[in-house]
Amino acid sequence: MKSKLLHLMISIVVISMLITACAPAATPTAAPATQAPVATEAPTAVAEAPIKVGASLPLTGDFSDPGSAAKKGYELWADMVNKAGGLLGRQVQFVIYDNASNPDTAVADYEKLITQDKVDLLVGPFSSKLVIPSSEVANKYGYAFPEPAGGAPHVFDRGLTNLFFCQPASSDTQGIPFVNYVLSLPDTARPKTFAVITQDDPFTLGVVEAMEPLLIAGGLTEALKEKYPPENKDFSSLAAKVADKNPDLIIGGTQFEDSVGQIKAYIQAGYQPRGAFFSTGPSLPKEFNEALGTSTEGIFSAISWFEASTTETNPEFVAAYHAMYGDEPIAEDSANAFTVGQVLQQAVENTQGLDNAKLIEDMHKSTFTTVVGPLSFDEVGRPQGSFMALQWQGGKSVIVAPDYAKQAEPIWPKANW
Amino acid sequence: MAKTRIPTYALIAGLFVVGLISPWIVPNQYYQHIIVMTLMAAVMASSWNIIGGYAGYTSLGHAAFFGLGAYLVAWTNNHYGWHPFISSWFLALIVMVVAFIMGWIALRTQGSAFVVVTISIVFIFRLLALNLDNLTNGAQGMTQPRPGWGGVQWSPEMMKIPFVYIMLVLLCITIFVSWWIRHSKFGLGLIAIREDEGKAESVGIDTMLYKVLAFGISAYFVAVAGGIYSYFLTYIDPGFLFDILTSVTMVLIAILGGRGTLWGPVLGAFIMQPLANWVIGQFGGTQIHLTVFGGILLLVMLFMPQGILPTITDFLQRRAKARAASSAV
Amino acid sequence: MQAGDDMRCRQPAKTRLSMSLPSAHLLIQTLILGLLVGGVYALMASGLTLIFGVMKIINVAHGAFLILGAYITYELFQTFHLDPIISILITAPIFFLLGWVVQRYILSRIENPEQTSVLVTFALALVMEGLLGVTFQTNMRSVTPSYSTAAITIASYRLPVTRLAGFGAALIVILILYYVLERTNLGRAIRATIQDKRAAQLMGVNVAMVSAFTFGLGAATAAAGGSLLSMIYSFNPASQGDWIAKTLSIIVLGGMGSLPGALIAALILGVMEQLTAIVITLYWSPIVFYIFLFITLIVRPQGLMGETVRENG
Repeated sequence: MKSKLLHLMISIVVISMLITACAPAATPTAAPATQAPVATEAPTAVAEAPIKVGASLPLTGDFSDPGSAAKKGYELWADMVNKAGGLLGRQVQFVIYDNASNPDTAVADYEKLITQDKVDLLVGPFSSKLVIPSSEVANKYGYAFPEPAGGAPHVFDRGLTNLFFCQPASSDTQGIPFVNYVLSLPDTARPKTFAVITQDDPFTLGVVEAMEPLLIAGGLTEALKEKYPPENKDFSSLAAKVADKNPDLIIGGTQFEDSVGQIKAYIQAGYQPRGAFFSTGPSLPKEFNEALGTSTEGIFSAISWFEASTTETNPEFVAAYHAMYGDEPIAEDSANAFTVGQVLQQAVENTQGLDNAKLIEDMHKSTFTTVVGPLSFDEVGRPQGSFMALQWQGGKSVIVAPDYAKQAEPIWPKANW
Repeated sequence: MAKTRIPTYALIAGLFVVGLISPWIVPNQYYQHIIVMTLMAAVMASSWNIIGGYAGYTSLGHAAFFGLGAYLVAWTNNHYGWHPFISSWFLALIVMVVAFIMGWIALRTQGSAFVVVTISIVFIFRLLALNLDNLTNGAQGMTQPRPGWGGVQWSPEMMKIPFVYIMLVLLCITIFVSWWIRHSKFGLGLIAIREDEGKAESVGIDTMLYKVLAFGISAYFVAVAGGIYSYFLTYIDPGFLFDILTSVTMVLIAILGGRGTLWGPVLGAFIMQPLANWVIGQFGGTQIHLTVFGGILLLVMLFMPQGILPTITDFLQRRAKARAASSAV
Repeated sequence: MQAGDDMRCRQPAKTRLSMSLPSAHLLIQTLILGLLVGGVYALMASGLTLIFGVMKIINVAHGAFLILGAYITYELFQTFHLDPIISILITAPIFFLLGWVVQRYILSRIENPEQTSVLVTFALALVMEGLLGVTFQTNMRSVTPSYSTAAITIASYRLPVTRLAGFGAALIVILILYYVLERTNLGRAIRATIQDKRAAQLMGVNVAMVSAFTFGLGAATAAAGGSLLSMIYSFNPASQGDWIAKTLSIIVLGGMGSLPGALIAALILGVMEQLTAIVITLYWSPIVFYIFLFITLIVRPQGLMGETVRENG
């Protein structure tokens, strides 16, 4: 009887192997209706197959707010392209997966987009943490990888030639307009001490660690520097420590949630700095206001784009956005994702094809017209422009530096939060 | 006993041959990816089975050894250029020594307390990986060069095939070792510990030594798998590698197939892994996946705590007995 | 070029493990924060330890119960502007019934609970996390009553109102729990069962009933804990893992099954966690829990106030 059992097991092993083996042969192209990818609808009038563009985005998890904003930007771009007759006469169709803010899921998603969904073009996810591993996948298969939000130093220092960061400048230069403003203050108003409280994340570290030496060189003293893990929820002890040192200026290396967590804890701890800068968070126009209300007054951040900008194609983008999504203020991340679409579109039109090797070549040499202004890239995909500084004034975020984009004068020192 | 020996070899050989040709039957890379993952799941569950099945100690700490193997391999590859296909086997020995030490501490407890202490092993290693960032690059994770051999990178179309083969070799070795342990005095000792540890001690088994040895050996193959996996993905990060869910997956697979049996964990992996991929493919995201995964675990624990293989064995034995009884009459 | 080389060239400035002696003021401030947070931990851990005491099972789904409680509180706040502390009055009874049902129809079926309860309740936790994720998405949430950023200043020490309120509410719930255990017949039955299940059975205690009741009680404390959690921390479905790890460490240190032990351990770990953040760095504070857990199991498996963890219940 034992051998019977073993025969059974052999057959089970063989059968399950065969099931695994035969599955693709049985259903090579059928895509079930319930499949997760969110595809933007294509009008039926077009005969040719649509161009498939793949992305994995953090629609849930830690980066869900910016991730969802990026999705809006991508889909708006596809919609505008399709309404204008498509790309090379073909409709654009997005295949978007949710990676729940996990780098490993993002990697698996891009593998799947390339090998299973066989997309023609790829666009990047949100934030350096996800861009770094997924750009490796794209590179492995030779895909061009324009991306909206991965500009940390480590994104570029790996030397990948297929990656293009579609913001005006790499992230480590984000805080510089703000630093310049602080150092331009008259001696009496200029802060003497500062603290850096940052999440351990390639993006946030890139931003704040570029600001540190400039502030120190400008004569400020670093009173405190602390890093916390991305999943940290309790900022009370950290805030007590900051309040104890009471620095004039607080520099927060944050995504969204932790900027709110930090600020709330500072208010509870009774810490009132004269100036405050947070890398991301204040740059989300809707969510930041909802979370903090009047406490937002006077907080600084950096931004790559603003709604009122009159750069070529931006007014059209803004109008189309409000037509599609309503009156809510537009998040920077939507504009950055839209920029990615613009770069991809112009590269395809320049090369008149979908050959990724040619697209990569073109992206290295062309200058692209985008909502954040003209964009060009160096040999590792680093963009060649600069950021702007924004400040919350009267419940709204306004551009306060540099001069050419200024909407209002910066307010210093900030009001109590 | 003699009867079972030949079929075990035959089974391993059969598995090997099927595995050998599988990438050529399935040229689609996505399915090759699933084959690699399935083979790896079978390795991990079979390896876990040595302590969890034979000795009956439910360890949820094995994700720590998986992650440690992965980090050692990634680090030595980046710094010394050691090829993961070779270094995995040696570096896993270091992990085994770590597991001996961890086991020596953790195996003083039993039952629920053992489960809890092994969970904490995973958390401790995860925090270390996050904090020792001059070694591990912290929360940012670590990347490795694209897979290749001797300076030549494997072409994207062929990339998965070497991984299918090395996982296959690893699986065959794991099954062989597991089989060998089961039929040795050592294995009998482990099973005696599972049945009644006090009694095992009273008949002169050095239970602590046996348990620690089993714990270390079962960590070894998990660590080799971790090393190869880190190269397969070329990207690792602490939150993902030191994940308690990785441990639970091993346990679920082993229990589903038949805890304490030789082929149960393999069978469990061949069912669970493709299923998991199908669920993710169908519903996307991680939320429904979690629900399905937890639901299966719950149902198995409540209604089939023995697992599939022993249930089938029982059924066949009962039928054979009934037949024997009727023919005797 | 090996990827590892560029990995090394970006060394973030080292501030780790640089012990800086905090000022006396900061130390006392931290102590206060630690005690306040420890009170909430105590409430969260009380149900877990009680359940272990009676049934000898570790309810790994306790963290998921906490988060479910937090989400219900969130919904009540968003819809009816119900204060998180008031909403305990609604969530606790619901959870009592939920716990009763889970024990009666799922957990009572397990054979050999000492061996398998962890896996079964782990599975339950995963199912709950998944369903929570499907229902509420995984975005971070927190409840923000009007006093969410307010703090009271006493002699230059800042006491955040949410934490103070959380501590007070936890204290009240724990006192109620004590009253039930010490002064009611059911409470006496529970204590008898904790001490000796078989003897209690012989004395006519309906152990099945007591078990279901205890599990209900444990779930109700999780509901209360979840309501408090929702206004102090941000949370999403995956947070259940952090909370089960914390509460498990607390009850192991306190001695599994011992309520007073859990209360003391919660305060100790609350203070230690905050102190680590101040003296070393926030990065290491979660490890305090696991280190304590590990050391307790090696040095004193019975914990502060418990009996040795028995092999068979």
